[in-house]
Amino acid sequence: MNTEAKLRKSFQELRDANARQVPAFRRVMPRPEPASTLPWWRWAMGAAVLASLIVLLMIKPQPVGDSQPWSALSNWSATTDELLTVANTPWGNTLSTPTDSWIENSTQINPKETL
Amino acid sequence: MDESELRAQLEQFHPVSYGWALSCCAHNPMEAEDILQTAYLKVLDGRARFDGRAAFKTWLFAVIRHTAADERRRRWLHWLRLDGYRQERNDDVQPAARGDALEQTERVQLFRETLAKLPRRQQEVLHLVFYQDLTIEDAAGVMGVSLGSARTHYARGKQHLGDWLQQSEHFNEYRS
Repeated sequence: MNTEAKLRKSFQELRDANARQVPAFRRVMPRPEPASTLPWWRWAMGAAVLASLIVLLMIKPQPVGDSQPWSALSNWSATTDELLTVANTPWGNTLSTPTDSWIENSTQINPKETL
Repeated sequence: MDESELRAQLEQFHPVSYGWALSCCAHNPMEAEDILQTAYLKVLDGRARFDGRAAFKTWLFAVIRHTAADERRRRWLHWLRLDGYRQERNDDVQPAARGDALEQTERVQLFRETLAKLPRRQQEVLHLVFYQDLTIEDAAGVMGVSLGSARTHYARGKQHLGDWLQQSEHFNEYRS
């Protein structure tokens, strides 16, 4: 008897031993799921949420249409327009800047006299 | 294939599937049962789909093998988290206790232990060929390896197992 035949015989013994402890198919087989696994209160909750959504959609205010008068646009003026008029005031021609007077005064002071 | 047909096929191959599941989890009966249940569930809920490219038995064995590998990975990660270490030790004790209860013969037990010394791939191919009567080509399909690789595992496994059994006094037929 060659090695393959001997091994086949040993594996046959193993198979016989295993066959004696095979669990019943029904025990191993997962049980089929029932058609509806959701309890009744989950259906009720879902229906309540759906009803609330429908009500919210019904009472939602309608969007404003084109009823506003176009004339309102022509009367509108920006609040920053005043700044533009202030910028036109001729400040530079009438007033000397403080910096100029300081420069003139500083040339008349002799640093040695002050010491 | 509808669910009733799948159930009928699963029932037909249930005894040999159990033998394969045992082989995939170091002959731990409780783990084999868990693996088998998970694999059946995968088949029934469509996570594993039979496409008819191979024989149903070959395909089912591949599903069982993948499920066993997932379970090993899951246990390994559990062990890495350390909190499962004690649990694993308890699991290790179960096969022997269950085995004693079922009065397995000493010879079969020794054969199992000798077989378990082989690398996993060699164990798998020998089981599929000698226990399940599959061809090496089908075994390669179940194992997800090339035919050449399966042949190599088969030859080495056969050689090692034969040599080890020859040295045992319980397997005199291997000495002649």
